[in-house]
Amino acid sequence: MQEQAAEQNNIITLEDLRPRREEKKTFSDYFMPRRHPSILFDPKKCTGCGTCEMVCSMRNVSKIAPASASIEVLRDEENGRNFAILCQHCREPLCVEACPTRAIEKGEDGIVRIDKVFCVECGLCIMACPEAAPFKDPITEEINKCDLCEGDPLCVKYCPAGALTFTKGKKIRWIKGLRWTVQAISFLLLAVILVGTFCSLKAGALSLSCPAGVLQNIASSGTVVLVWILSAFLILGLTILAGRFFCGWICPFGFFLDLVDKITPKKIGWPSFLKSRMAKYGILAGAVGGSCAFGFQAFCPICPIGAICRSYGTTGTLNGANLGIVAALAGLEVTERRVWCRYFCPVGAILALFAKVGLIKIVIGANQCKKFSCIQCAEVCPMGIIDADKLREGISPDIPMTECITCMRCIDRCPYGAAKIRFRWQKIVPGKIEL
Amino acid sequence: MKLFDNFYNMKVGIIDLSESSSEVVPLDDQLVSEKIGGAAVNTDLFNRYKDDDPLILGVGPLTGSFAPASCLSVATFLSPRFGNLCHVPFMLRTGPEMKFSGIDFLVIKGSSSSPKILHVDKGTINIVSAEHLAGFEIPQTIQTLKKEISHPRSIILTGPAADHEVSCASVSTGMRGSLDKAGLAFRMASKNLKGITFNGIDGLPFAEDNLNQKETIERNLFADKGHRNEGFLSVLEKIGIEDNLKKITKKTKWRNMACYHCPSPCMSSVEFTWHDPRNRKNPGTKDNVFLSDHMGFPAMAKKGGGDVFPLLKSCLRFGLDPVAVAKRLPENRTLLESLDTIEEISFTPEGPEIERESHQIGEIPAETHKLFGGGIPPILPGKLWVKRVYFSMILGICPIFLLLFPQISEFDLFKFLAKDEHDLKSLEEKFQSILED
Repeated sequence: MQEQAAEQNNIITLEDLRPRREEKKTFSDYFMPRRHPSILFDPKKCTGCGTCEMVCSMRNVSKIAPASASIEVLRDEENGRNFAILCQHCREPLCVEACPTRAIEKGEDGIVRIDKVFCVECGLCIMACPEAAPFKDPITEEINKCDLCEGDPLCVKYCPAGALTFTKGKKIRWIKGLRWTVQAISFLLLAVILVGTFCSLKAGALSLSCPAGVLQNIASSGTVVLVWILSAFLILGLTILAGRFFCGWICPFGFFLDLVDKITPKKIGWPSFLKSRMAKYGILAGAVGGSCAFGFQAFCPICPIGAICRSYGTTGTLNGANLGIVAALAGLEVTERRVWCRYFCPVGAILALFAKVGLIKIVIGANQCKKFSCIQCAEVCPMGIIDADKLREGISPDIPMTECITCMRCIDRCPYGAAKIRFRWQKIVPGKIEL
Repeated sequence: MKLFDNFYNMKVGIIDLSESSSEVVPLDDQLVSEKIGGAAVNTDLFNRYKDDDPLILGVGPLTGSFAPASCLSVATFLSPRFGNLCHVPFMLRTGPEMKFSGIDFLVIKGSSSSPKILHVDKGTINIVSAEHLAGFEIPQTIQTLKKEISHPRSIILTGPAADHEVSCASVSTGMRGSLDKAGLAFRMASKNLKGITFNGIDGLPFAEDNLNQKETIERNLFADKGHRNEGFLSVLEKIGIEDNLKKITKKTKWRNMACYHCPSPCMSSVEFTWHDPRNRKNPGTKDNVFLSDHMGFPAMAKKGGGDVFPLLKSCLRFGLDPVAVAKRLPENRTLLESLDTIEEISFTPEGPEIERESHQIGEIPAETHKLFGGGIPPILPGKLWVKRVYFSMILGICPIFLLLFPQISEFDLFKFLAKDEHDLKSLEEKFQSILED
């Protein structure tokens, strides 16, 4: 309305002067994301010498004046720690949103800059920035901020302790390529070539079975056969070694859901009252109880993994009921990613129990993680287990391995190398900010 | 010839505490031209205001510049402990912040009737009351000052030990202690001066090629070394740390810290776990102590053994010189008893006490060592130590850095000041004449 009124009255609006730059996502962005340049600060290496401030001020005001530097080293005297305040060139910069004159813009190269011609020095950007990185220069009395020295930061160049590192962000997401390849091959093998083999495969003396199927078999028959247990151990052993790797990399239904997710990028949200990750354990218990009561594997006929594995391929039979289940569950993808895996899958429930005692963990290193300025790991996590709110509060979140499917999307996406795989016993404590 | 256009604000702050007045006067061109700066100019100013019992604080021409370890400021005063004129070096950020605040030298005359604090900001000096800070421990004082003065960039202050006129009181730079073993804290307390804060928000011009000179020096220094972080322990090793002291340091977590623009940190922050005997509910407490006193640590470690860290922390809290405190701690006492003794020392007024005993420090004569505050570690032997320390105290470069790296020549540093060969030669001659004086 205001714009229409302005048009009628021939008034020049801010939109005319500074049209907001729209970021268009190209096809290559899906495989090679845009650069997210930033300076990483390692508090363990910083000696607090302030050389960064010196050289930065030299560029800002042509003087040695640490108070005019775009980087500020805070010295925690009592605890003997240093911390640097500097612009993170956030993916979605709050300073850009806050600026009433659109003087701050994020360029194509990912650098957030202030156009001093348009800056009215209102200071809203300073208030909006979670790092308080923009600052009022005491010498020029202008608002200033880091512009990464246009891609060659002096502070990084001159830091004698190597506490600052310049990163342009990762370009190639090789884990993503590898995972899609492994998932596609697994799908072909389990659902098309070796039809039905996920549920049970017998090749000579070797016997492999779905752990949920084995559990239902034991319950329905009332007998415990050691061979059945051993046959389920391939997947369970893999889970102990690598977490729920099966779910993230091998499960054909998981792959199918990932494909569905690609065509339903916008999510309407799963009802909050149904958001219980314990439901899958209830379904597992129901399947086992049902098998015991009815004398046959109660869940297997409606299992979507089994349905996909049994319904296709040259020797497979097209089972209308099974396809209905698959279609219905695929439809749930419009609400959240991998809804089935998050809340309902009983196979996942068994694997979660073993992942709890597994050898590995995924951690988000508190030192490298830029938290509120990034949050990309939370965005890409298909299981929704990385708490974006904690990141916004500046806390590295704890990642429950019972829910993590070890897809490594967070590791792949993190531009700072903060998300890592570690052995369970390794000393990295997520949730604490180490200064 | 004017060598120092870009290296000084050319301002001297004259403070008369007895009148509670201050003025900023131009720095005499001739004075810096003849004496270069730092301790040499301080001495001249001291002699000019001798009758007013002055305390001089000054910087060198290279303080705050691109020269490596350009962190030094020097306090010159008549030592109540040694009885002679002393130059106490201040490292960390005091020197650069003083220079960036627009004043090169402070002459503090007379004594106030009530505790005062000096705020130096944008070339002006404010004298404010510090009565409410009397008796505060150092961390408490800093917290209060930070609230009152909106985070000053550098603070030097005295603790409760100086308030109670304890002769072994020591000035603290923030919460990090200092190399003051000459009684500067006592001298400040006798003037009723609780502390000085600097808010260096002005800048310092620099010569275009200074950054390249800095790079050249540092490249040559660290060409053979992969990692520059040496920390407090490396200095201890240079002055000969005993094996039992090495054991003490093993169970602690060290983080190396550097002064302003120093490429080779010689201080460390230590995280240690100790059993606080006064807090029985929480037996294992993690704590931190900042180690900057290379003479104080071995002295205290010899007395306190494994309890050296909490004892040093206690000295920092009360503003005490650990070397003098270690001498007073009785042998074979428990930690609780030692902590109680430190507290007792801090709160027992004793008045000035001139130390008669003087031991040679390494190969350095005791009198010379005391001339520079008694806290600079004997990293190099005799005459070389003396020359390097003199040199650093005049130019405004950290003396420990110059002692650690004797390969940096005077000539290397003169290049930051001189525009041409003629200036270089002139500087060398002047420096030689100052040394002879």
